[in-house]
Amino acid sequence: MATRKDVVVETIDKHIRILRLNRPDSFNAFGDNLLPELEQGLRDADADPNIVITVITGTGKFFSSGADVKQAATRLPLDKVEKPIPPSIELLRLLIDHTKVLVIALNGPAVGGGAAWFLGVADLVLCSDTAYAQVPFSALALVPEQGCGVLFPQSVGVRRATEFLMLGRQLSAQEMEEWGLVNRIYPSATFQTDYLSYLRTNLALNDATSLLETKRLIAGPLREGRMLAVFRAQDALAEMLASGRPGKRFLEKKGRLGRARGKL
Amino acid sequence: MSGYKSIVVSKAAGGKIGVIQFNRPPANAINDELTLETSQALRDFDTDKDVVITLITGLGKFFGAGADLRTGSVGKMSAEGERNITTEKLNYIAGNASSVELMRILNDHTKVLVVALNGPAVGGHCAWFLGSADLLYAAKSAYMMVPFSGLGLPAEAGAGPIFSAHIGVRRTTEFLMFPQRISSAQMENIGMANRIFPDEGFHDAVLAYLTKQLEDNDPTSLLETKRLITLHLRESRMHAIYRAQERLGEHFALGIPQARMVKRVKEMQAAAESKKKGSKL
Repeated sequence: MATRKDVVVETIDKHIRILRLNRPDSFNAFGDNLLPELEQGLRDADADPNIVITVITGTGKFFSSGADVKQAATRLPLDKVEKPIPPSIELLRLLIDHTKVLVIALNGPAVGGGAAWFLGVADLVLCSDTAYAQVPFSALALVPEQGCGVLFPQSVGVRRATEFLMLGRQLSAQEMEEWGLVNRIYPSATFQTDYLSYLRTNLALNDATSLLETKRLIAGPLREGRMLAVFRAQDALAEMLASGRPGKRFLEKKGRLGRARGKL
Repeated sequence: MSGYKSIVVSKAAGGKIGVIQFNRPPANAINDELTLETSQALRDFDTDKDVVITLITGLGKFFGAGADLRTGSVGKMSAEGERNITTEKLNYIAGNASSVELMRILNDHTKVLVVALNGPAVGGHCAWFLGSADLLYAAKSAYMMVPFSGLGLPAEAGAGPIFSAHIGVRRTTEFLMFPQRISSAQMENIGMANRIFPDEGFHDAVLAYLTKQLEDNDPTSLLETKRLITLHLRESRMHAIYRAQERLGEHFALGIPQARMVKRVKEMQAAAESKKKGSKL
C-alpha cells in the first residue's frame, strides 16, 4: 500500500515537472514531510535534463497556509528557543539556485510562509482569480521570512512591498497582477487546464535552452543578494523568537486563527 | 520640542509616533533653517525609545514647493569674471552640505519613516523626502513634480536610483527628465503612494490609520521589517546621494543653471505682479 505523499510529483509532456503540495486538510501547511519532499522534488527536477519548467502548486482550494500552527505549537514552544530553527533555509537555497524555469501556479490563497517563501523567488506566477496573498508577520511579532524583504521589492517595488510585509495588507488576484507580482490570472473553474495550456504553448513556440538562459541572465545576478537576504531574515527571526515576544502573541491569536480556518 | 521656527514637532499615539510638520507659510519653502531643524528632529526621534513611526508632513495647502529660488538658498552665484571652476564647485558643495546630511539622516533613520503628503510636493520636497519614506499616504489633491531639467539642474538627492526602486527605471526616467505633475491617483497607480485619503481631515485620518496599525502589530516587527527591506539599499542610496551632490556642484560651477534660474525668478515675479494687478481691477 502506497504511503500518502505530502508532495505529489508528476511530469507533463516530458518537459514540465509539477510538484503539488498535498496536505489539503491543513491547507497545505508546512508540516509532516511536506518540506523535505518538496526539497527532494526540486533537487530531482533540477538534475533531470528533460525538465525545462518546474511548477509548484497546491491541492484543494488553498495554495498554502504556511507554517503548520498546530504542529509548531505542540513541538516548539515559542516563548523559549529549545531547538534550532528548522532547516528551511535549504528550501530557499534550492529555489534561488534552481536552474529550471520556476513557476508558481497559485491555485488559491497563499498566507504567511505560503506567500512569503514562494511568490518573490518564482520566475513566473500564474494565478486563479480566487487567490489572494497575505502575510501577518507584524501582527504575530514575527518578521518577513526567508528573504522576502529583498525578494518582493524586486517584483513590486520597495514602497508596495513595505506595506504588504510590514502592515499585512491582503492582495487580491487583481491587485497582485497590477502590482507585478502575478503574471496572469485565470478563472478558478478552468485554472488547471488554462495555466498548463499557457506553459505548453510557450514550450512549443520557444527554444528550451533560450528559456533556461533567459532565466539565468535575469535571476543569475540576483542570486547572491537573495541568498544573503535569506540568512539575514533567519537571523532576525531567531532574535525575535529569542526575545519571547512572538510566543505571547501566537497563543493569543491561535484561537482566532483556528476558528477562522474552520470556516474556510 | 520647542525652539523650532521652521517646523512643528509633536508626538502622537501615546508617544509612538513622532510628528515633524513643515511650517513656513505659504509653501514651506526649503531654506537652511528648515533643513537643519528637520535634521535635528529626525535625530531626536531616532534615539527616542518610544517612537516607532516618524511622520513627516506639511502645514497648510502644500507639502512643499521646493527651494526658494528668490532668496538664493540653492547656492550663491558668483559674478561672471571671478569664475574658477574648482573653487566654485567646492563652494557649492560646501553650501549644500546641510542637505546632504539631511539625506544621510533620512537614509540611516531606523524608525518607520512615513510621509503624509498633505498637498503638492515640488522640487526638493519631492526629491528629498518622497523616496526615503518607507510608506507614503497622499491627500487627494496632492501631486508631485520636479522642475530640475527645466532649470538646468541634475536630479537631486539620489532621486534616480531611489525612486526607481519604488516605481521602476522607465517611469522614473520620464518623471525626472521631463518635468510633469503626477497626481495622487497616478502616484497610487504606479506604486509611489500606498493609499489616498480625502483632503478633508487628512492629517487626523492618517494618524488614526497609523495608530490602529500600531495597536494591531508588534512594534519590533515593524522596525525589523523596515530593516530587512532597506538594509541592503542603504549603501547604494548613500552613493546616489553623494553623486547627486557632486553633480549639482558641477552644474553650478559650469554655469549651467544660473541663467535659467534668473529667468525663472523673473517669470515668477511677473506672474505675481499681474496677479496683483488683476485683483485690483
